[in-house]
Amino acid sequence: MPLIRIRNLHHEYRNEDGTSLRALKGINLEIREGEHVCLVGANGSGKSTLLLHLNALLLPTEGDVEISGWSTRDESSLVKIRSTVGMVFQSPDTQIIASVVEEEVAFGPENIGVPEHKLEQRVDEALQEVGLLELRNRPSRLLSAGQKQLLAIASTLSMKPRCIALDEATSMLDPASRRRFLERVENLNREGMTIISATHNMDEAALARRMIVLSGGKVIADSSPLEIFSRKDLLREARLGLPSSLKLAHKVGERLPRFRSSALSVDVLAEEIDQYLLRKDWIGS
Amino acid sequence: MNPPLTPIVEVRKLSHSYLVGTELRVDSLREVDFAVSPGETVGLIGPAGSGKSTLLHHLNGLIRPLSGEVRVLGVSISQSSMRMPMVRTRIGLLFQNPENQLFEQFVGDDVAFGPRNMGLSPEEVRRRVRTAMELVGLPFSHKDRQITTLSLGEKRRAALAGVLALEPELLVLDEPTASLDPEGRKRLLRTLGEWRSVEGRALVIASHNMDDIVEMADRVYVLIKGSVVLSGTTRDVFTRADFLLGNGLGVPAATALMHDLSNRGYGVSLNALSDLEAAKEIGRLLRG
Amino acid sequence: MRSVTWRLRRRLGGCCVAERSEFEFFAKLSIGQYIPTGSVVHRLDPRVKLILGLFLVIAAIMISSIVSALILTVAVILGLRLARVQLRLAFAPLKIMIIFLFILALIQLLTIPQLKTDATVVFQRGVLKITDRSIVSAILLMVRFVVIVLGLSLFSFSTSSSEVIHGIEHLLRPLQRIGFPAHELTLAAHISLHFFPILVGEAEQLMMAQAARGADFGYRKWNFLRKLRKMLPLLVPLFIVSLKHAQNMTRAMESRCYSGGAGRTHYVRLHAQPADYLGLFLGCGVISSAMVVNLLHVDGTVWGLLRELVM
Repeated sequence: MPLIRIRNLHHEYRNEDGTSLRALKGINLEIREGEHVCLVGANGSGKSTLLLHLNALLLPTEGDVEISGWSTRDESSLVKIRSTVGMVFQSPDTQIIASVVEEEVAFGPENIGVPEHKLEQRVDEALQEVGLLELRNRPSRLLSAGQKQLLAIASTLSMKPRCIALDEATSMLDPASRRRFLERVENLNREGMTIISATHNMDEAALARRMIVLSGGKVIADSSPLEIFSRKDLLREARLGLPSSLKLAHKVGERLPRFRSSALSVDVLAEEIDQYLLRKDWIGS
Repeated sequence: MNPPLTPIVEVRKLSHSYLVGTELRVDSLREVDFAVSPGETVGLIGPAGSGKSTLLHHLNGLIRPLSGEVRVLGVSISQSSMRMPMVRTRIGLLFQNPENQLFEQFVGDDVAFGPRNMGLSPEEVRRRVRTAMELVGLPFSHKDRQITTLSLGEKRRAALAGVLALEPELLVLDEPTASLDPEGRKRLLRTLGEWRSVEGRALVIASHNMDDIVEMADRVYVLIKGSVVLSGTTRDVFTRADFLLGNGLGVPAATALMHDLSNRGYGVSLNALSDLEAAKEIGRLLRG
Repeated sequence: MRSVTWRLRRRLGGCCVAERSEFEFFAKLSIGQYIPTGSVVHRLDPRVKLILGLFLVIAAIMISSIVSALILTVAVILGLRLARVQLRLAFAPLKIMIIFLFILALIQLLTIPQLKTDATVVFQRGVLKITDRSIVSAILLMVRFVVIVLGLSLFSFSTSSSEVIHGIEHLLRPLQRIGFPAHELTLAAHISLHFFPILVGEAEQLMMAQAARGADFGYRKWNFLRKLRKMLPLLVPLFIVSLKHAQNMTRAMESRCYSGGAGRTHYVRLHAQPADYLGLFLGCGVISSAMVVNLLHVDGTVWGLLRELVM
């Protein structure tokens, strides 16, 4: 059974003046445990709306969302669903509730009634996982933006989820913090956590193993990043760019005969160029 | 020989601290030297908390210098005889996430806020609003749209129009492309390029996005913990890849690639900012 | 089985950076600012401090003897010294309020004789009358004010907002059994406290953004009304931003299964130690003695003694 199953999901936002906005128009998706999926699309394509359905913060106007077999429409399953899928939002400041780091991490388990003698263990493990253990007594407002986002992850980890959904969680971070954040996320995925992240940073998207492209509320592609990056018309329709390594690889390919690269990061590209030069692949052209 | 142009803004040994006199004092700027001359685009980079925003807020007098000097068009603004609102119409400042600062109900009114504050005639205000809106890609007819109906990209453009309507000589932008999708970013940079093509204008951009800086800036200042640790032409600064990477900053992908290849023992020059330059440099290796 | 107590936290050398307001104006005001100095007062159980604080305020309001008021003042100042707080910082808000204080005292001085005619007149010029009673009233007013402000300062310098919230919640928890929403209220208070600096920062950003487009906020002190009017355009975007923050917060809370106080367990548990009981006992003792002195009406005697010493 897939961890997440979405069938014919439609979502309509209704405004007070009677107008409505159809943000999702019939999404069908299945996500299995352990996958690392990235959700891409221009602003307004429906990425955030889709993510909010994953832990029942939004309910479908039409269609079904099932997490581990439980439907999000079922009120009695809400706690189970929200303990299974944790959400990390974009803004570092407004998703933090407690004024002390460890209390923030404890908030979730407290809500679901985890017995008091287990609370501390949960907090410790979660903080350890994101590397914030020494900062446990720090006032949460004094953390840097990058640390706050790591804290947000820890706050979901303490509920022992099976999946973490990230809604543009790095867009407000500077490059160094973004790198550290993404490393942690990669680690978590390697340990078996399912990761779904919405982003419009193509370098970040290239790290995932599966890419789902949204445009105008519909899924227009669901494949590997490499496959999608090779489809120019698709990229144009969805208003997406390429990761910087592929742009570089393309330009380098114009100068190096018989050089072909599909490197999704600069280090891999460097390695491929290195190999090309060592093997003198251009000889014979 | 052309005489050197008077910088539009010149900063000398500027220092600033928050919460002076309490135990919680934080030194946000330490003896910073900075200047922008007409016709230039200057980039400002640095890790989070390095003082970029603080420096930018000094450029149009929002913060008075505690120590050191800020000169606007040759006149020091430490003298309180300088009327600040007037300074601010020569130097336009666009803050981070400016879409949060739109406060009128209709787009046109918000863009007109600046010109109205300048006491201009209604016809002049209207002309400026139209010019500014069209420059950012918002048709003048959108002036009667409610701001709440705008998308993020449109709101940001409206905020930029509000500053452009002041017709400043210097435009200062704090993280202008943050949170924008690639298309929005391209459009914004194109608008800025058009704006600065008029003679006498200058641009200052603070950004985490190294591609913004590489594409737009002639010179760059690197700010770390309140001090300018490196400055020079864009090329000079970004080819110091080791230094930048070691201090938690990014470099363009092309430079990073050269850096990686150099570490692997290839005799490549690190002087590559664009993809094309990198490709050419690597191409040279074949003949070497 | 380790439970998290405040003592343990501090021994681990926990937070060593004071909470910092992004908005300098409020920092200068320095009420409501936590300055960790690790003193005995800091280490007291917040419930003790809450109870003593409340008792102090009640006492300050109820007493009518200058001697009692002075006892309370000395007690609070001693408390500030124990807490290793610089007196300069504690008195700073008073400096700002001093004119206000004098005006109030002056009003007391001049109006009480009009209302209570059974006191000895000390000074009279035309309609203006000052009686001994009004002098006492005026002085009491000022000293009361000083006690309360210093007491609040002592409390907030030595207790982090997190401790305050936990203290209040623990004290109110017995009421939860009779249906009083103790947790929800304290969480609401907590979030407001937490949000306040964020919103102040946003307001400051908004003001700066408008100033950057030529709005003249002017810093001339007496132009208060004009300044107020200039701030009106800030209200709408501030409101919108607050709503957005509130929405984000609600989502974050819901996504972690918050559904009110029922059924929640608690990570932070306060355990009163002997030192806390001692502190409570001593504090109550001092305040009670001030109230006893109040009942004994010693003012007259003390005044008489002082006059003899001076003559």
